[in-house]
Amino acid sequence: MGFNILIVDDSKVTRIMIKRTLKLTGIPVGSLHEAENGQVALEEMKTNKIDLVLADINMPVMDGMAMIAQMKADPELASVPVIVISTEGSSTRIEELRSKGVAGYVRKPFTPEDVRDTLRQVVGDWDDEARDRSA
Amino acid sequence: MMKPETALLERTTARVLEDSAFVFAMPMDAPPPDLSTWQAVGVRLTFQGPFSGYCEFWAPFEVAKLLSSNMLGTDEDSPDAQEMCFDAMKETLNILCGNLLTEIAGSTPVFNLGTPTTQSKPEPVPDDGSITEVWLNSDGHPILLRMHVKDESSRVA
Repeated sequence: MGFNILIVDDSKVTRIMIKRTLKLTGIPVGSLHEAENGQVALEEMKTNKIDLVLADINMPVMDGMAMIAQMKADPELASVPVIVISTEGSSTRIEELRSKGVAGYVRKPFTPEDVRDTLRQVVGDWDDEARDRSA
Repeated sequence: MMKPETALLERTTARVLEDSAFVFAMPMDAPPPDLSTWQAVGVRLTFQGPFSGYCEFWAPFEVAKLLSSNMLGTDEDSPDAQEMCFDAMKETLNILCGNLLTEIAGSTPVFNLGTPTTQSKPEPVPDDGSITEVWLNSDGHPILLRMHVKDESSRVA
């Protein structure tokens, strides 16, 4: 058993990079899902059980902020943790993200260690998590 | 007039290329190529905030493929690397622009970035000083980064 993870970014290259990075972090993955904007991501979350969302902010159609707002307003999605992976460097914006319930933040360009550390902060030690989830 | 320093653009561009795609670049010693004949692919990204403008990133197709293949972890000649080289250029510019704005304006102001768009040909730089451009050399290939600032209130040291 592993985490069902949804990657939301309008750049296909970035989605692939994040998938490669997840492999390097060692986090157990149950299933990987992708969406190119917030709207597609919300549809994915309605049809699949998602445990964790990794999302960009700046996307066409529906940006990350709007997607997070809709998730928090939906009782079924409100508790799904969201880690934002973005170029955003403004502490004001990062504070705003946290106030809206974002669980973690990784700035681009990122290293696998950046992603692994943030994942651990958000989901805890996944060896224990994976064990609990399979129990 | 708000005008970012050339050295800051060079430094940030080199760092972002290395950190995001293992592409190494340094300021170019040789004269830049003739823009009218230079074969390059380009992308532009607008930004709005305390000041507004756009960044442009230009590179030969060989560099775009290298960016793409390194980001994807594939061979340079793989169909994926070729197919996604514009996506890689756009994402690189997105990262570059976000990092440059923080370097220039600090970490407090909020900027909203647009969506990167492809460009057909680099235009000559006007003489009004509104565009800062830097040329870098990556494995013998010239790379061009431009930053245009529209709404200037103070000069960045």
